[in-house]
Amino acid sequence: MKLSTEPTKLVTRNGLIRGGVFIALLAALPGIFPQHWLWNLMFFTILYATMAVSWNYIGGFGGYPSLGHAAFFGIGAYTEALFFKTDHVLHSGYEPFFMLPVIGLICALLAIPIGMVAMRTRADVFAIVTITLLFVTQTLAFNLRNLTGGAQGAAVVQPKFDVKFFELPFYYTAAIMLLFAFALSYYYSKSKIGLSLTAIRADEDKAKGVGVRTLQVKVIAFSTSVAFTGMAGATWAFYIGFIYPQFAVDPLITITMVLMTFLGGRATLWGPVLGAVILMPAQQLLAYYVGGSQLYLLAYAAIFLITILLLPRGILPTVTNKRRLKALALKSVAAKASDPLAEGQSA
Amino acid sequence: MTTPRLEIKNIIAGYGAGLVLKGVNLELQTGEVMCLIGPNGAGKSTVLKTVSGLLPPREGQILLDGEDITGQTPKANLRRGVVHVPQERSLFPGMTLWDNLLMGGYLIRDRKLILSRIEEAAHLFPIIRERQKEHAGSLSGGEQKQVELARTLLFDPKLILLDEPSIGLDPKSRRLVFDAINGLAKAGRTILLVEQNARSGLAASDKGAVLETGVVRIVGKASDLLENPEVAKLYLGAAGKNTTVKAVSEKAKEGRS
Repeated sequence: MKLSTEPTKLVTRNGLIRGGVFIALLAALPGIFPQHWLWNLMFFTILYATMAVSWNYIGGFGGYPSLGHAAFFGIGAYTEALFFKTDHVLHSGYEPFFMLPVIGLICALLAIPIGMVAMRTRADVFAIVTITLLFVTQTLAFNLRNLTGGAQGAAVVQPKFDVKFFELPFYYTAAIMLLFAFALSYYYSKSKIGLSLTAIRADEDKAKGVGVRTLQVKVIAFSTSVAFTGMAGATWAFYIGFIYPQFAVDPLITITMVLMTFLGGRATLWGPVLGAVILMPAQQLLAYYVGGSQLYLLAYAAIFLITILLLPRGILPTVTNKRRLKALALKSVAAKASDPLAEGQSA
Repeated sequence: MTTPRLEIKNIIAGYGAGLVLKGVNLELQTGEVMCLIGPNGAGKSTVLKTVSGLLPPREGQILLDGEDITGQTPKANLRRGVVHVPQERSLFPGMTLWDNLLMGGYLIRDRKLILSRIEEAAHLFPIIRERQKEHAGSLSGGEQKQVELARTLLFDPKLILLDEPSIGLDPKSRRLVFDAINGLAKAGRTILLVEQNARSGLAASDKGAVLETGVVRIVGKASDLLENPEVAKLYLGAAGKNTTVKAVSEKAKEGRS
């Protein structure tokens, strides 16, 4: 058997083909399905896919289940609202999009001290610390009225896009963010950072023992992860036009991105995207049929329970594992068939 | 006279207020394998910890190729080529064998160098080639230990410190591990080995030392220790088995030369 040199190759032929198809699909989808309600659905699906892919950096690869990501979604949304109040004059209408990298950077920088404190805890304690961060941020959003408008909410200036294509700039912005988030995820999975995160997830003490600077790696993963969440929040605020604390800093946002990652497959490249593609349309469908009664939350709980019970590793790893076991079984049957002694021994 | 690969000079070390090593002196030439034997609590593992830097000694000196490495950090010693394989399983069970090997060379920046050393290790340990994509957790105890030993080669080690490599293994796995140690010795690696299974440990070594209550009581050729009646009585079980063990030991040495 040849020794694998795969980890050294950052870009493979198959990877390029898959990436090309993915980009082409993202670009072509609005043309294939030209209905407004579908563009709206596609925008939210891609936006949540971006968040799920980036949550996977720390929650999947690193094994640190952050429940506080919605805090950064809210921070991104309010930063956008502060930069682009209703009295702000937009020229092309695209200016708020150009501000997204700055908002991502603000969130990433903010995440460094937070991560340095929170990452000293592990597992369930870490989850509690991060969910506390979420509620603290929500409380601040309610009470810092001068900045956020408090319970009255905050308005974001609206662009004068052609109403026939209003959703498209948002959709393509979300698609570009998803591509960047995905590219970073790919880089992590192939690089020393990814290897370090996997080792941290497997056994943090051993990882430290072989020389991994665990805190540094975790903080890098956390801050890049929340940078995308912040940018997603800002895009959402610009799209929605008016934001309230209970929706901008909503635990349900975190739960959705976590559930998408769990469903598709944690610590996999495509798992979070698959999770988003399944869950977001399903949520819209449920919201449509059971109305605004939030009964879809029960469906979320059911999906979560079913995933944990039947697919504890998520869809992609389960399918991959089954295919691997099948290939192994076929290999062993072939080996037995080609070995005349094996039959004689068993007889 | 050539400079010894490792010189331990009058080392005094311990944990908290207690002293474990009370003046240990040992010397190991390049390419030699030495086995430390002795009762529990004699300080065998502590000797390895002081050499690797996990436990700074209170007094004494440790020289590697004549260079004083006393009190250096484990990381600094690792960079010098001192690799410590602890008693506990040190692989990541949820990671593939390949990723475990990469983790072994984590501190090496040159990716090509890591790959060439993995290739080199695969010659000595075929398991790397055969099971590279399998999770380490799916390997048996003996196979995991083999991978741990293979992983040491990523640092092109000057000195390998092995702490009870056969602990908790069945006889078949134990044999795999001692075959692997013999393989490393044949490849010219210098090894300081601590082993409760004194018979197998000495059989795989050139030199042996008996440690008792923090001091070296006997040091000499491993084959002489295997024949020493006092050592046989205390650490090798029945003295009558010596002839067989000596034969095994001679066979291992012949294979190496």
